[in-house]
Amino acid sequence: MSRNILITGYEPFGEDSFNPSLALAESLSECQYKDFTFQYAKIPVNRQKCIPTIEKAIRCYHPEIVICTGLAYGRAGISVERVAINVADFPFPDNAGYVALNETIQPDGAPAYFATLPIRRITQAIRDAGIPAYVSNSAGTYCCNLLMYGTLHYIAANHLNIRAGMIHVPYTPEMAVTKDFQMPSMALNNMIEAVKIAAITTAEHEDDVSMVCGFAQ
Amino acid sequence: MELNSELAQYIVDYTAKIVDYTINIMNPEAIIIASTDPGRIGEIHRGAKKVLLTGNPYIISEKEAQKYPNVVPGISLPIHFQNSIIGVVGIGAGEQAVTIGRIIQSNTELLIEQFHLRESMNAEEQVRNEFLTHLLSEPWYENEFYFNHQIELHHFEKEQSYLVVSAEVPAELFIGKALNRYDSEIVHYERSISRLLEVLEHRLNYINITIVYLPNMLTFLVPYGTKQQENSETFVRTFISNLDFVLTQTLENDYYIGVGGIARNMTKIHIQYKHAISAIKISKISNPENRICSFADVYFEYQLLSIPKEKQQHYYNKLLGELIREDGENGIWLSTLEAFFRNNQSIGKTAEELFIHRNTLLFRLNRIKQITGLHPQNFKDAITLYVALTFWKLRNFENDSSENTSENM
Repeated sequence: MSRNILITGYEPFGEDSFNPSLALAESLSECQYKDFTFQYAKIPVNRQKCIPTIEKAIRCYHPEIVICTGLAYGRAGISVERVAINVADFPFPDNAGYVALNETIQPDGAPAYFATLPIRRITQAIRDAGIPAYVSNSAGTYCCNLLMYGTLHYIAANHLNIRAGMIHVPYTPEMAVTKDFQMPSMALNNMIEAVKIAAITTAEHEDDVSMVCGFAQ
Repeated sequence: MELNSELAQYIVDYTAKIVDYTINIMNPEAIIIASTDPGRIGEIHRGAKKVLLTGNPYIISEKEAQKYPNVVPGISLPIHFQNSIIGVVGIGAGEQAVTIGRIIQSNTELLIEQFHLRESMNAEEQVRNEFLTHLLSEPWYENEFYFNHQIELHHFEKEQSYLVVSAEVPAELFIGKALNRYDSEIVHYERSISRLLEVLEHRLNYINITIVYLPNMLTFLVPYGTKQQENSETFVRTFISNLDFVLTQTLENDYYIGVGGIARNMTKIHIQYKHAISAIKISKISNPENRICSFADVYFEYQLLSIPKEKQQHYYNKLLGELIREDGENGIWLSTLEAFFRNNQSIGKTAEELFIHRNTLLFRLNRIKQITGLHPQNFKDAITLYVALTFWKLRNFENDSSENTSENM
């Protein structure tokens, strides 16, 4: 088996037929970096199925790095998440019509898990490529936080040697035009490049660095 | 390689889009087989004759061209392929003939090389696919020489053990419009299959896994080494769980997986393939909700199905005839029996599955006893009823199914 980097993306949400996070994960699939191969997994926007899917993906691909991606409309750049919290509190229903209200994700889990990716290095490397990026201090309480928490909890509970975290991407220009033209957007190609940079930066660096990387939102 | 007129005309048309000159391609007899001027096809080309004699380019000057009708100043150059001349290309390019001629000559040779490569790759793939199809469907001893030769040709190891697993996929999976307007429907179909196989191979990530596609059926040959750390049970379980995940992600749930088992060497693959197919078929009959079925779990049903059809029919008619008649079209007796056996004769679980009170279930089971004389809660009677029920379901399945797969059993 080759060394794998797993990139996840979410299935389209609600009535959308497109989700940039899935599109970017799919386009990175089969990419190679040194002896690493990119694999991808499609995650359902579903309170019950989201975490079992990522667990199956981890068991299937035995990745060394997991980067979950999701859409966060309204954000102006690539946001590299710092932390996932043990709460599912949905502002709107998931694709199965379920609304989680103030639920604990894992009764026996830690209140929060920090991303184990070198988030500052990643943020800086993405910016160096000319793409706006920042460290985000909240992944929300919807499915993206659920997935990030579920991933980090599964890794911690099973003592796996996997580094993982979450990256949020904005709307694509096509989505902004059709859904809300006042929303910030970013071309899909930039998102693909940013996530690839995040994966490569993680593959190249065991540790993060202490550096000022701008205002963290 | 022979330069046929179809390929030659393709090269002429392709080149004519880039440069605006008269272009002719001649075969080794100096006959024009493709041209920007279709009227000249079939004529003997003077320049080509000289090239074929000397092996060198031949330039026709303006002065010489004037001597003959239909001849324009230009250059004729040999078309090389693997150190021999397979034809001649002639370009009516006037003063620029030499420079342009060289470019067109090398362009022509490149196109031929590319065509040849694609053709030989296709041929190799076809031979390999044919071999793999035989490997799955034919006993080794029937064609031992052929198998041994092919194994060597395709770099397989005869003594290698393989886990054999099949997955039935929807027939309409590859039907759709070609994305590329140059592809015909058949090319699109072939491309979609090989793309799917590539994706599955990549995602499954097992070294030297071989995936064979026969209509509606993907078969996975996964090398299994005796020196492997995990035992065969864990190996099979892990593969099936990974395959299930990868197929769910790729095909959106529309599949059945049949686990044949481990073939101890390549000569045994066809047996495990048969088992995998049987597992799928039996699972669809006895428990269609279940998407994964191992042959080991349906061995009893497999043995039952080897009984001649007339005997099967006689058996279920005798035991269940009255029940079926009383059941009518959408009756409850047989579905109650099915659910009762599926839930290991548990009253509580069966009642829960059928959304009925346990007393209702007990009433139904008693009624079945009255009609058939066999009590479903009694172990021996239950076996008799289960066998009859399996025969009856098989008959129904075969009536419903247009495809005749009974020879696979």
